[in-house]
Amino acid sequence: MAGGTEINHHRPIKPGQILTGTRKIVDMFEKEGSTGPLIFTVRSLSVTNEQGELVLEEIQTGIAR
Amino acid sequence: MKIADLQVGQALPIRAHTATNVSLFCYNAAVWNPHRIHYDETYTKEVEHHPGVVIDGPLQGDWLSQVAINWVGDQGSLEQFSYSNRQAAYLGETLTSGGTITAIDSENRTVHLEIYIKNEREEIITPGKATVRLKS
Repeated sequence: MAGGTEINHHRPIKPGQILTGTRKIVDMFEKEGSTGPLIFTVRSLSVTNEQGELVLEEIQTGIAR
Repeated sequence: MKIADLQVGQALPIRAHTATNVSLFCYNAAVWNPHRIHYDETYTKEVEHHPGVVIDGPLQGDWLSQVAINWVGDQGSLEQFSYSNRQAAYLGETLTSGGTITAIDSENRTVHLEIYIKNEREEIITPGKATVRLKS
């Protein structure tokens, strides 16, 4: 299940640009929920343009039970 | 939209969102999410024991980003955006989205917003924050 998202837009993008996205698992931890243990997975996505400049950063939290 | 005309505490337009079985199926197909809790009622109740088909958290996030984007229109752009899915919502519920201005930075031309998704019991199930930058 989805836990939440945080997005930072650093620069505008234009048609024709080639963008590169990199996803990483940045954290994993367990918490006790009301219906049993929950596993939280925090994933990051960073998108860069051809010049290597950061276009967008996103952090997403997923919850598994 | 002039930054001088905006006020802290000002409310943004409220929108109602009623997901349907078909809209949830289409959303999940579009984001390539095969999890059956979003379109298969029998599976959702019998296998994963939810009370009903689950309205996606990221879909609520998309409605939240639209609160900021629709409000600012072509007068600016969304710079920062975050939300947290705190409570589940199920097919059949009508959710509402909205927000308020919490801070205005005239020098940087940024407006900070607190945004929310509420259920029919007026509980905020997905709170969020957004920062928009107005064009000069």
